[in-house]
Amino acid sequence: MSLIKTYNLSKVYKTQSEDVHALIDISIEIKKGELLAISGPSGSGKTTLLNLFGLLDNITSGDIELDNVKYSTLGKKDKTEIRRNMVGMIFQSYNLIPVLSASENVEMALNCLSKEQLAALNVNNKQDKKELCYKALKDVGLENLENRRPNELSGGQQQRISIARAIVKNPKVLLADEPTANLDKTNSLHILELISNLNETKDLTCIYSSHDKLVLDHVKRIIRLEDGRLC
Amino acid sequence: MLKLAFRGVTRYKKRTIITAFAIGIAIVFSIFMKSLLTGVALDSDKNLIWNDTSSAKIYAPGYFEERDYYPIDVLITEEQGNALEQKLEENGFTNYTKEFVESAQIMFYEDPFPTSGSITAVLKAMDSSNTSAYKFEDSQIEGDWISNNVDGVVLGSKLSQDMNAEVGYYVTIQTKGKGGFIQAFDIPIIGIISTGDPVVDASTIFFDYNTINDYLELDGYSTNYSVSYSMNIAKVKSISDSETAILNNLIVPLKLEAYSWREIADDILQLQSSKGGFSNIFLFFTFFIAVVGISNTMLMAISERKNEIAMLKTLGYNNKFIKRLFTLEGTIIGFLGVFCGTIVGVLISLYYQIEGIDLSSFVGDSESIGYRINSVMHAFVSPTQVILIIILGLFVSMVAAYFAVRRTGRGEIAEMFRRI
Repeated sequence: MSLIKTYNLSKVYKTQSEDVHALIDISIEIKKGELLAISGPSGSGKTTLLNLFGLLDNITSGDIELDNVKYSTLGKKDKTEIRRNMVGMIFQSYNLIPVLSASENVEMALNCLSKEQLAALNVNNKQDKKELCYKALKDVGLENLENRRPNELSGGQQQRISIARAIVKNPKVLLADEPTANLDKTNSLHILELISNLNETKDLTCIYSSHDKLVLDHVKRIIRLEDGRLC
Repeated sequence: MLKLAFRGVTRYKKRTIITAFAIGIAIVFSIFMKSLLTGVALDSDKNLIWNDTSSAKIYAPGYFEERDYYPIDVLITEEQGNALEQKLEENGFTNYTKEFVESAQIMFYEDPFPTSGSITAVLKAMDSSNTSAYKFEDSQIEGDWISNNVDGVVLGSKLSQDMNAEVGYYVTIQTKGKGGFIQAFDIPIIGIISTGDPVVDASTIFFDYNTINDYLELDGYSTNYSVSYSMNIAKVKSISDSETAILNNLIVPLKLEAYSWREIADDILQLQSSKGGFSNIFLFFTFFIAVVGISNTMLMAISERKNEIAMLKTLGYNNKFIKRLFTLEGTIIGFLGVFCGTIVGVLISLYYQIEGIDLSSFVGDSESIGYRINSVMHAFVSPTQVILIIILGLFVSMVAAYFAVRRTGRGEIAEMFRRI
C-alpha cells in the first residue's frame, strides 16, 4: 500500500540570472512502513524532494499524494494541517528551541494540535500530554534528561530530542534531512538504529535525505538523484 | 504561548532591559510632565478663582467687553447693587463681594522710600465686611488686611518689593472718580499681601470699598459684584457654566450680566490649553522613541530567530500564532517598561507634588510661562491620567511589536531555513 506518490514532480528555483531546475520529472512511489533514503551528490535535489514531501516548499509542476491526499488540492490551512498531523521532520541542525527544556520542546509538537487531534492520541489533559512527551523521550532514551535545555545536551542527545518531537504526534511519515551530518560515528549509529527501531516497532515510514554511507547502509531502499533526475 | 513568550523575553536580557528602559523613561516623562502640567494648571486655576475672578462676576451691560480699559461710565448703581444683593441672598448666592476696580498710578517719594517713582497698578476696592467671593484668608499678610473705615491701602507683595515699600509708608494714589474726574490722595500702606497669584501680587492694590467710595465720590456705585459658588476648585469647574446661567436668569430684570470665570479668564485658559497641546507633542515624540526601540528589538529578535519560526511552521503552527507570539513578547517588554516607569514616574511626581519645583532660575518671571502661579510648581498625580498613560504605553508597545512582526512567517518554510 503506497503512502507517498509523486507524479512528474518538478521544482524550479528562479534566480535573477537563471532558472535552476532542482527536480525534473520525478515519479516515485513510497510504501507505508518503508525505510528508505534519497541519495545523491550535493545539489542533486534530495533536500528539495524531502522539503516538498514535508510541504515546506511549493511544487513547480507535477503533484505529490500523501495518504491519498493530493497536494495540488490543498490550501494554506490544509497544508498547515498536514504538517501538524501527518509529517514529522528532523534536520541536520536539530532546530530545537533553546529556551525550552527537552520535554517542553517535545510538547511544542502537541501544543498546536486541536482537542480532537489530541484525543486521538489519548491526550485529554495536561498530565496526559506530559506523559506522552515522557514516553516519546523514553523511546529515544532521554527520559532522565527531560528538564535539560538543548545547550546542556550533546549533539546526539539534541538530535534524539528532535526525533522525539517528530514522533510524539504519531505522524504517518518521518522525514529526516541529513540527520547524522553533525554527529560523530557513534552518535550517528545510535540515531540510525533508533530510527530503524521506530520503523520496525511503530511501522513508521521513514525517509532520509543523505549521501552518508552509514545512513545508506541502514535503509532498505535507496532512491538516487543526480542533477534533479532519478538515476 | 505565554510561557514561550516569557522565555523569549528573558533570552536576551540586556536587550530586553534596554528596550524596557526606553519605554520606562517615556512613561516616567509622560507621568511627570502630565502631573506637573496638571498641578500647575490646578494651581493656576485656584489662584485665578480664589484671588482674581472668583466663580463669576456681574457687570453692567457693556462693561465686560471694555473691562481691560476700566470704563468709569458703565457702573452698577447703588439701587441696582442693593437689589442685586437681595436677589443673591434670596437665591442662595451668599458669597459675593461688591467691588470697584480702576486703573491707578501709585506715586512714592524718597524718604521713606529709597527712591522716588511711580507704578501703574489695578485699584481693587472691596466691601471689607464681605469678601467671601475670594479666599484671601490663606494669603500671607504683613500688617493688616483691609477693614471697614480704616484708611489705608494693602499692596501686592511683588509690587511692594518693586517699590521697596514697607507697612506704614505713605503713597500717593492717582485714579479716576465717578464721572471721570482725576483724584489723587495720600494714604498709608497698612498691609502687604502675598496671594501666590503673580499677577495679583505684582499689580493690585486693595482698598476697603467705603474708603474709596469717599475718595472717588462713587455714591455707592460699583464696577462689579464677584460671586463665589464654592471654594472647591473642582466643584467650581463643574458647576460654573450652569450656575452662571442661573445667575444670568436671576439678574435679567436688573439689567445686569453675569460672566463665569472661564469667560473672564478666557485668554489665560487658551494659553494654558496651547501649552497642554505642546506637551502632548512632546509626549508623542517620547513615545515615538519608545516605539522605535521596541520595533527594533522585535525586528532583531525575528531576524535572529528565523530558524525557530521556520521550525514552528514545520511543526504546524500558523502565521497567526507566530505573530501573536512575537507581539506578546513585545507587549511583555512594554509591560515591564510601563510597570517600572509608572512606579518611578508616580514616585517622582508625588515628591514634586509635596515639595514643588522652584523653576525661577529657568523661567524667571513666572508670568512669562503663562500660568497664574509663582515660580514654585507643584505636580498633581491624577490617577485617571496615570491609568491612561499605562494603557497608552501598553497599547503603543503592542502596536509597535505588531508592526514589526506583521510580515513574519510569510514565504515558504524551506526558503526561511535557507536564509539562516
